[in-house]
Amino acid sequence: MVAASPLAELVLNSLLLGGIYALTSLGFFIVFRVVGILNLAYGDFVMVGGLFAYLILTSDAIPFAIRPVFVILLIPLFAAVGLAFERILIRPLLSKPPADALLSSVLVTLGFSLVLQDSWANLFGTLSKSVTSESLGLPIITFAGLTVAFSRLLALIFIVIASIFLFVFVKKSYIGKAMRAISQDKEAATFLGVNLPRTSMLTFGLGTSLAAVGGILLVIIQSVAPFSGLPLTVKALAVIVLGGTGSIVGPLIGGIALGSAEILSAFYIDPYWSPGIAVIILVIVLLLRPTGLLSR
Amino acid sequence: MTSVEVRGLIGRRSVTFLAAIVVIILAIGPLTFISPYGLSVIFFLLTFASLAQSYDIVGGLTGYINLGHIAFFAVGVYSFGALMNAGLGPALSFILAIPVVALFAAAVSIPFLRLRGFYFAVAMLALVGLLDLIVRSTALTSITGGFSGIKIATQNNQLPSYYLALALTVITTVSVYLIRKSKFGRGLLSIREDEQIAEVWGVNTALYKRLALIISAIFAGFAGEVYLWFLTITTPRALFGLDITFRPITIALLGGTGSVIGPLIGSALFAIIDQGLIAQVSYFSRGVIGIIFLLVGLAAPGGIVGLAKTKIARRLVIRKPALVVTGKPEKS
Repeated sequence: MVAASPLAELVLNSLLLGGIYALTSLGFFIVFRVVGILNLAYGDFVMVGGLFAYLILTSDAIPFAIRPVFVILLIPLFAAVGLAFERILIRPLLSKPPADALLSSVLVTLGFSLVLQDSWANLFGTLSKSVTSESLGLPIITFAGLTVAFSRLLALIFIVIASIFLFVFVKKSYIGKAMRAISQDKEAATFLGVNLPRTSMLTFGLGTSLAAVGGILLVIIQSVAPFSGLPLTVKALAVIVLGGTGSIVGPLIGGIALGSAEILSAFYIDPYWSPGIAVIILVIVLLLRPTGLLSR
Repeated sequence: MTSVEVRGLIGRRSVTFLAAIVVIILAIGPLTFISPYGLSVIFFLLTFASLAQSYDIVGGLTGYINLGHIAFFAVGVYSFGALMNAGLGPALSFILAIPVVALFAAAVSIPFLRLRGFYFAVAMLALVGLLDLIVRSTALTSITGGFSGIKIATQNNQLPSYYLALALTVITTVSVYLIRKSKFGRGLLSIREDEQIAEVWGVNTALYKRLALIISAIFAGFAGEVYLWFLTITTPRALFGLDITFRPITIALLGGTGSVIGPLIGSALFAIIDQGLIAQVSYFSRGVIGIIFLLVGLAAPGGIVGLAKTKIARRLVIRKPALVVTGKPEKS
């Protein structure tokens, strides 16, 4: 990191990390609102998405020019994985009484998370993996006294496009409207002809494809490691508590706030504490809002 | 409904009698036939049984899934270790560490008990991560030992700590039983069934939940103290690694959460899995725990006790209904 203009550098890094948190939290959040399940394996989906992107981008078997295409193909692939995950592991839980469904869903998603982590650690080792700008064949550019890897700029553009796409999708498309209807009133939505199981499944698919997007960006901006999935899930929760659950904009704001808090505290205090920032924010928000931002 | 029928059939007296025999065997065991290796296996079994039992005060009775229960255990470990290293004797350290854990739990309960359901579960897990950072931090290395872990003076504490663990298991189990019988316990159960209705009916849910968390923390903290006394050294890596972090909940759910005997059965079963399977595939220990979670979650959220209850109840109620009626008239 070149500290030619630390403030601009900090802002850019905050936006990048915050954008990733916002996208992943959104994926985590829509599944919760529509399906009613907090997927504790969500962070691990992000991590595995990052791992696959790493494997593709550093593979010698795939020609250099085609690598980005394969990386983009991860997104629909993960959507399919999400659909299967919902169908096989989540759907059977939804018919149980609420208390049992809560316990079972925690067990199933956490169990899946542990299996993913350990499989990765055994297959690819426990070291964290990242892709540098040079290995992507992208230049490091200097712009107005600010030195920045081109891959980071691409990531930022990608985050903005993905957020806009998501926003429009949820607002305008039929599935998006069905998702919002279910999150407002499940019974009324089904009365009006919304196909609940199908929408749940598609939401899971969308959420999981967002995890792939988050993972791909994370491996370019930072790094991915087998055991950082659960901390990422915790961060997604902190983002939701921070941003509120009123609308889709909440997680966006919460994500940028958490990303900035982590980057700024790492710069001005000590990078050692940045993994704990999410918890501290969570505690402060809960203390300041006595009723709790989320009482359910 | 089914639990009442089954309990009536098996008989509470025979359960108590059986439990007494097991405790007596475990008590005279180390003096006669248990090898030092066997002693350590049973010690860990008992420690984690009491930890799982203490988890169930919150997890089983109120239905609040506490993924960060190990935090209380860890606070017990560290406060006991710090007091020992400050030169207080074991007896004084054992006693003085308890209020530390209780205060910690009370402080934690203020923000975290505002959350419910999933949010509480994940937030408590987050707390474990923060605690991990705090004990590893260089600022506190003089007290916590940082990365290399906390160490107390090495002596042979194995036999006394074994008996402490045995006593703790008995005390925790009896306490859980008494809590379930009490008005307090019924209040907690009503929170599990429906917190809003419980509150409407005059249960002080905020106070009850806080008390439950503190009681559960005290037992877990004491288990931590005994754990450190036995091992004399432990590291953050061992304590906050995911396999230990999820052990209390794994054991409680494997045996059957919300039942007094469940965590004990779960602990025995987990010891068998641990010795037989995880020791063989140590590189995949988390994965094995994950698979247990998946199977229990999909097939039997009531654990072994839940399965047994439905099995026994089904056989007795459906095939020989006359047996159920004797002594315990059915309510319609």
